[in-house]
Amino acid sequence: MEADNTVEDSHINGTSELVGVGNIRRWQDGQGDVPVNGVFLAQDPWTQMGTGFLWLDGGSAAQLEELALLLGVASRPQPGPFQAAPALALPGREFARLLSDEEMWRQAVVGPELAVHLRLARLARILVQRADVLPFAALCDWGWRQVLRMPARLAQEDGVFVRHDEGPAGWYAGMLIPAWRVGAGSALYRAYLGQAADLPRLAGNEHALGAWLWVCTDWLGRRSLVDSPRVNEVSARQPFQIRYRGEEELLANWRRSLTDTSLQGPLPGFVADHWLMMRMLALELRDSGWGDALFDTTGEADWQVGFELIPPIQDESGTWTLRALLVHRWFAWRAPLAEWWQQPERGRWRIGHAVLREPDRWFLPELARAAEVCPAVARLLVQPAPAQTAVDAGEVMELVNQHVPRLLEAGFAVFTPRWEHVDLRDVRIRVWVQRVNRRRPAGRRSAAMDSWFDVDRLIEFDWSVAVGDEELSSEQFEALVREQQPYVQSGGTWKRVPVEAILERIQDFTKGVRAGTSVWDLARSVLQADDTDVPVEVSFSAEAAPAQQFLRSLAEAKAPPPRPLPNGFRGELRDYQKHGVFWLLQLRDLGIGGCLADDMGLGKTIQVLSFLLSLKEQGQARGPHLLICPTSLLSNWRAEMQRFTPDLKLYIHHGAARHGLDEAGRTTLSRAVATVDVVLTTFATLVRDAEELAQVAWDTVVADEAQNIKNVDTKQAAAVRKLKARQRIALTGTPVENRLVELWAIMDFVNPGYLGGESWFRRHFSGPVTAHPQGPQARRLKRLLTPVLLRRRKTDPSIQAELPEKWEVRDTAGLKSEQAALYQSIVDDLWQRLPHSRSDMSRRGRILAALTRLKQVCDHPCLVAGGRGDVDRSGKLSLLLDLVAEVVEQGEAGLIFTQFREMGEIICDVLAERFGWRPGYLHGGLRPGERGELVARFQAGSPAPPILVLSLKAGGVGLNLTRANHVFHFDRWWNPAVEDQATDRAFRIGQTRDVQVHKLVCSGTLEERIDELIAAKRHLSAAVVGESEGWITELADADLQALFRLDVESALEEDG
Amino acid sequence: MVNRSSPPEKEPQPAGAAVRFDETCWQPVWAVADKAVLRRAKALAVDGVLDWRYEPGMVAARVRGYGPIPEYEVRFPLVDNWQPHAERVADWFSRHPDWLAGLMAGNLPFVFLQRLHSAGMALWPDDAYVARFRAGASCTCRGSSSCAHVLAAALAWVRELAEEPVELLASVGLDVGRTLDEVHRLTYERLSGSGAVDAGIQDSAQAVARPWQPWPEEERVQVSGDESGCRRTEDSVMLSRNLSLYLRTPWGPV
Repeated sequence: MEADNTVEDSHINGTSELVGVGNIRRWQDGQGDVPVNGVFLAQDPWTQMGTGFLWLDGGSAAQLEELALLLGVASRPQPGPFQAAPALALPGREFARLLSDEEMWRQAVVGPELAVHLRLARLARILVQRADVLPFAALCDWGWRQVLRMPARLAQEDGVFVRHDEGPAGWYAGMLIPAWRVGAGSALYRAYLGQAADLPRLAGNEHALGAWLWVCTDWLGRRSLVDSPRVNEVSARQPFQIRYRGEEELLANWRRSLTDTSLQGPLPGFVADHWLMMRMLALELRDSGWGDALFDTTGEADWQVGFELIPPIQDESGTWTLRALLVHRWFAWRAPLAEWWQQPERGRWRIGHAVLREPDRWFLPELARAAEVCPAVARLLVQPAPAQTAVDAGEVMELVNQHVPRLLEAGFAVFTPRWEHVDLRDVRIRVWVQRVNRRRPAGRRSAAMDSWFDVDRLIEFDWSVAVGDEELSSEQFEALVREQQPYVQSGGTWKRVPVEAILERIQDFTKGVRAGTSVWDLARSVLQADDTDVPVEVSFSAEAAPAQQFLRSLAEAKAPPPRPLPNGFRGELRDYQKHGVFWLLQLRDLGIGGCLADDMGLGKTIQVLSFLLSLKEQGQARGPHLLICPTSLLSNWRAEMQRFTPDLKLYIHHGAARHGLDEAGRTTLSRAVATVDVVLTTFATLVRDAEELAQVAWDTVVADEAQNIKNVDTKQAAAVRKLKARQRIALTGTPVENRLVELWAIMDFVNPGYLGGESWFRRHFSGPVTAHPQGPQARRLKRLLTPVLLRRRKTDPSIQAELPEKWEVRDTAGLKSEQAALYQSIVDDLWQRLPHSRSDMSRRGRILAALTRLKQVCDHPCLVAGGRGDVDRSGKLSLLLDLVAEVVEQGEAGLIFTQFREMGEIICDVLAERFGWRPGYLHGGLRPGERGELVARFQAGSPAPPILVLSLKAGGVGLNLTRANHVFHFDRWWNPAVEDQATDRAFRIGQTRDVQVHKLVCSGTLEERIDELIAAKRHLSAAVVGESEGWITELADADLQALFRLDVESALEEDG
Repeated sequence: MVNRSSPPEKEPQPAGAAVRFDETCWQPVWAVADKAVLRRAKALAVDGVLDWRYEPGMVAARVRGYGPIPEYEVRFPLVDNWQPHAERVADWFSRHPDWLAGLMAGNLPFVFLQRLHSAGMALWPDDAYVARFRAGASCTCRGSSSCAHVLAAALAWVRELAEEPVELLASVGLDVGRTLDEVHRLTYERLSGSGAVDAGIQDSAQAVARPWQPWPEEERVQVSGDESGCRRTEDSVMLSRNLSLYLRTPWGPV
């Protein structure tokens, strides 16, 4: 035995030197390609491990001897198993060693029987390589047939069968056999067996092939067994198991029997208890692939019924075909069912390398099952020789969407044509605008006079859809939709057209087909296109050039070209403000309106004024402009106009005087309209004089604080909409884009119809955008608004760069008539009693007293005349409220400084009434602890009110109030240093935002004049004006009079 | 229970309607049995029917006995004998493959049952058969013709038919293989001339010696998705928990 081993080893070692790659093939080359053939015969008992025979088909005995030499086997030619020729007989395991050396057999010409054996040896090698083997044992004296059946029986019965006839124990031998856990492995095995069954010399001898696979697996497996280096680690992972008595010994014996690697002689046996052995075997076979299916020859185990959906051949009826076929589960073998019926024999069906025996036994009932879930299959099955059936174009969708998933779920294979996934980016909607029609007779926007281009004009256009390289005309596409057949053939593949997405886009601009599509509709549709949308390519004929220009300009409205600024503008525009003016001018050219929604303090007023002045200078204005604002802002507008655009002639349509008639019987308004550039009015006045104002053909209507018209049902909104204008502009500082219905109302005033009707807008945008603020509809709306809504925020980096960290805004308020009367009486009183000598102390005292009282009157008349601190009595207070409202709405915070303790209380009261929370009030009367607490509370942020009121002196020093980024100086201390100090409460280290300083000033009063004085001499500040207001008392009488004088016309803010 | 072997002719059935074959199809037989006997038969049918075989016109079965008698011999008559109609049946099936497929799936198309009915053929009991059953069934227990053993054998047999519905053909005296052969032959003949594949060519190609090469499918097995979870991530793989056997492949890729 040992000597034999040595010999064998030398053969193995010699293999690489002597035999080498392709040696049999090379030997055959010299022997006239004489084919080598061979079989394995499984003699009983199984432990003998059978015998292999090799012979040459048509070769001589001498050649066979040569082959034996070449293979290094000691066997001599002897009678072979099939009387065909002399053969070499080899012990089974040696045969396994020879046949599993693939290099030796590569390209060798072999007989079909040997080929099967080679394949099985190869399969064994793959199984061992994948560790898809398991240890097995059987009684030594059993025959192969019995042993081969055993694993499947043990695995299925999941238990024990014991032979009791020979006592409790017997001689067993161990073996490594396939475990069949890898499904494709057993499929391959069945394919080999199927082939073998066709070979006369192997047919009926299948158990020999099974035995051969086991012998190979065992031989290769044993050679690969190793002692694990990590036994402890692995055994630690094993669940604790109670061992039966004798189990350890049995396992040791079994294990030892598996490690013997001799090439010859019977397998060594060991004594084992039957019951225990069976139990151990059952454990090993658990989770293996052993079962009856392993021996299936009908193909049921490896094959499934499949269906193939075949597209129509182009240019034919458009009928699809559903074809039944058999598909191998693991390998790329398949055959249409039609072939089955076309072969005369029913016994077997050869597909690929596999042979299926009587497959109709399983595929017919499978077809019946498929017919239950798929009507097309049912139709297929009623025809004789069922193989395929026609599927109407209209049925394909249903088949693909409903029946195919059900077929797949039921375990059938389904093949559809390679639907190429069509990315939306590969789809284009091409719109060809041929002509822009004459203006439609009477539209809603008929007031848009003489615009170079009327956006309501109808266009004639045609469209098509391009999918990849295929172009579908509108008729073809509509046919696709109608027939619900969204497939297009393009370049050999079928593409599933995303009909829904395309349809949605097309409906965007064709929805008003009956009324015709306007340039406006087309523009809207193109504008709101998202990246995720099907792109629309619009091209224009020469006739439609104006429409093309309109679309292009609209798309570029956000980046308007620079233009010359008006010469008469007294001031300096920041870059973003210039941009705003250019934008308004661009919209003007396009004949559409816009909404300027810059943050408060960014200078919407001067942008509009600059725009209006530009129109005047270029002679573009076709009439007066109408400016509508809240009453509280009237004075501010007037003041700003006087300051920045004095060239614009202004008429304020406000107050009782507006009702006067001149000698010719003309109203003040009609007279003014003919001469002035701008008519300024309030929303309240507009409502009252709606009829009169609606008669005028305005050039531009500007609605300031446009949130006043956000509610369409209000009178002011209705009145504003009734106005006839060439262009409409809305100004607002509140973030409109978050309040969609308000936004719609404002945009509908600016550009009627641009956002569609209210209910359409709610459905299309409001709901979806509210639900998904970052969703596609939100993006769409944003794109749609881009040309007509300009909103800059203080926090935009580009804007921030232009703004100083601290910048001041003068907000001008008017006086109420009560305030004006009081003011005048105080001034009159002063002049009457004023001593003329400059040095007179009483003169100083009187002047200072009057100064204080005048300031108090500007703040609120009740400070002087008593009474309730109502908002209505003070123009400044109502302005403050509006400003605070904006601050609060933007979620920011502010400080309000006043020098009058009582005024601070009034402000607190008014804010509490308006907003529902009462701000803290920090004044000199508080104890230090209270002050600290107040400051800490304010700094802590919400829910503490976002406003803190401070008395100028108490709040002047030592506080850190960086939560606030707005500072309101409700009244003025005519010393900039004091004001600056107060401002610095907010503008300190720790302030992360820019600070905006609002100085509230009453127009036409000393407040305005001193403000101008200080502004002019600011750089001198401390040096000129000193630390107190005393410098005023030093002024000459004439200067003093000029300073104190009430300019009634500009001061008075009539109660609207 | 409606006797479903004779479909109602008045009510039109929807196309594709089918009748599922199961033991309720034999309700006419069960219905006339004594309740207590039937209960015993059902218990016995679970594991008391040792085997059964077809005899001419009969089913013969061995049923487990009790006490000194280890088993009883039971016989009961077949529902029908289609042998004289074998050709006609094969012709039907070749023209209506859905009938055959439905029968093999245990879901019998209604139109097929109608055709059977009008041809006077039966696939499961009707009233006439019930009478024949009572007259013809026998048991070595010498009890009545519808003793528990007979009923148990019938029940077990019917349940097996429901498991393997193609055997319904055998239950009416037809040879399943021969019937399928005949259906195939008729179908083939009807198609012949339309380019039938000559299987013989492949056969001769198979038997020729040729250079040996691996199949591409074998590669598939080597790399196919591993449902056993024994993907080889380590040098050695444990083959058996019980035996602590480890395997290492000394070769490179095959």
